[in-house]
Amino acid sequence: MAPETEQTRETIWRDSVIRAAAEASRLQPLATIFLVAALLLILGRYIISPVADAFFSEDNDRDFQDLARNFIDAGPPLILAWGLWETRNYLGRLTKGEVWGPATAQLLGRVGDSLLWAAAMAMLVAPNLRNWIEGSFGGLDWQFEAEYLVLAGLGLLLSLIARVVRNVVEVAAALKADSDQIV
Amino acid sequence: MNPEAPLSRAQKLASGTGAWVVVGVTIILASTALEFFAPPLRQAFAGDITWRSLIRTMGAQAVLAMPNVLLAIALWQLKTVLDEYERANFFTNRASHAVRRAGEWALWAIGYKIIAAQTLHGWITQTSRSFVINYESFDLGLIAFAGFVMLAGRVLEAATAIKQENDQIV
Repeated sequence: MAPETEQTRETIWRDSVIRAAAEASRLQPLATIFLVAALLLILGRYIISPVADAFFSEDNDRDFQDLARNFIDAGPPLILAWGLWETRNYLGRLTKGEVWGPATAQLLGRVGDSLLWAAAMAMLVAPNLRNWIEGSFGGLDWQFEAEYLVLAGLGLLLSLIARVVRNVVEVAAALKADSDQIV
Repeated sequence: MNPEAPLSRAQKLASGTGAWVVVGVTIILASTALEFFAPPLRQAFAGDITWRSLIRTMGAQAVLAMPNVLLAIALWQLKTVLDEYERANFFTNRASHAVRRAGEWALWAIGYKIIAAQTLHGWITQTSRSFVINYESFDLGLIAFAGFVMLAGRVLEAATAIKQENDQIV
């Protein structure tokens, strides 16, 4: 292989890693802000406010039902918060230049999984649990919203990309092992 | 370990999922039409509102329905990626651009929903003259992940450039 083409490939590779690291270092603090903001919102909206309502209100029956409903509704955003945590870790690895590491691919897959779980929880699990709490046991309920469907789509996309990245990592490792054997 | 295994799993996962994307987009568009446009149309056909007022209502509803349409476009980008992956074309410009664009469209949708939808609706219906910011914890998560997918798309674009360079050399 000509040395100049090898150099071009090296340059593209290095540039892509540097670009990804630069973008990741900008996005990581943003992911942290989103994570903190989301946790505060979840805490305030689904936990502190309903607990306060349940304990300081006269109508206890209705408020404990509301409390349970709020805890169920907190499920999907909490799973998303877990996804944000994984995203933060992933961006941290990108910042260190580990664009194609095996652990990086695993983290990417976990982010995809968290999105799929959050969407499934929001569309299928939460509506049915809410119905059971309210005393209706008939049939399977679901709640299709554009946001949930797109979230599931993005989750699927990330899972697929994680598999592709894993393949790149494994092929690169196999090539390196071959080249080491030749040397 | 067989290095091709994750790719063949990705290919299997992609095959057939494209149809589900079409179903998802159809559900989004149909539910949007039912939620935002069917009630005023029913009222107009029943003669409860004038056609002039129908146009005004539909315009105001279109402003609120726009995020769903943008989200449907984001989901549609996913179909392009799945079609490419199904054909085992993992590192193509088409697939990488579509990954980036899926993230971008989702960002536009959520950004519009949070900042513009309620504000413009308030201005059109003359119920508010100020900026209305409307968001939920779910929206914050979606913004972060859409940005993340956009970044993954850019990394894939760089990888595609490297692969094309490599293919030219070989």
